[in-house]
Amino acid sequence: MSDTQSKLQRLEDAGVLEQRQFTAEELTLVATITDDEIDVLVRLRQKLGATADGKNHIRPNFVV
Amino acid sequence: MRCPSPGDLKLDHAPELTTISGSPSHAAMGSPPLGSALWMKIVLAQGLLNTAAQQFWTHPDLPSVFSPFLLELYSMVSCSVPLMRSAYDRAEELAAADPLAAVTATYLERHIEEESHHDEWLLDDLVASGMDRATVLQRVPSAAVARLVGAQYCWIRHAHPAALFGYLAVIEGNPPLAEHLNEIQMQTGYPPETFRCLRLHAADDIEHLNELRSTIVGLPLSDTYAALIATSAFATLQGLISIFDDLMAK
Repeated sequence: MSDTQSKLQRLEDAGVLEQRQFTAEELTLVATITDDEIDVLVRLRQKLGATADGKNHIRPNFVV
Repeated sequence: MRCPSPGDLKLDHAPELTTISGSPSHAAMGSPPLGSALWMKIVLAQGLLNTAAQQFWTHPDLPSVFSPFLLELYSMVSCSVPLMRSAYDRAEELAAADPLAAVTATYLERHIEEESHHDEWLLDDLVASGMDRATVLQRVPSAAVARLVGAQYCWIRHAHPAALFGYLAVIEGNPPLAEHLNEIQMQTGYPPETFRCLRLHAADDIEHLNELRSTIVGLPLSDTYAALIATSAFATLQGLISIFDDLMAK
């Protein structure tokens, strides 16, 4: 498995992204992420636990 | 499990980038443009924030957590313009010799204008929800808000004011939607006047987001500053999740 595929798979396995929702060009850009950055996102995703499927229109509603 | 849907966040083609040092751009060397790669990292953070939002907004006792949410939101919004002014001032100091700072200053000057007085509008909305104006004004920001905003002051002063792009991109990355606000209003029983500021952002922030995205994609970044903005975005994500966590723990 290439480094790119390994990073994307790790993100997908953790539930940080679904590769099918991104274009090949976008995945190439995502794969520039560093291992340390992946660690941060994976930890945060794990912290969120098993979030049930929700509604697509639900938003954080934080504003500047 | 909810994952990011790039949807309307698709990348525009990035302009040719040059590094601060004037060395050949990443695009010219065949590497992905730093600004575009940075934006995709931000998209991942935005997706996780949406996941956190699912937990909060489907809370079984939403009316009891909504009022504290509004107070936390007010703290954040009232901190926003002073925070952006601080970044703008620092960017202006650096701008003559730093193209990244110059772009940062230009963006912030306009955005400060756009976001000015939103704290006053939100305060009016909180009063409309039944809160006492003086009590809201006297409330100090929570530790979670201080961590969120304070990190930005650190990076603005001790790293680079462009760090603030990570903060803005995560917060503005998922603008409120009218449909969701209608649901919250029904579930909480608060009057429509409570939601005026949020509804305004629902209407406005798509434009802000598009402008922010094109600005970030076109930033004259070095590897170091691209990493800084990504760190800022991830810290902002972490900070907002903490705010949700604290609210749900009450």
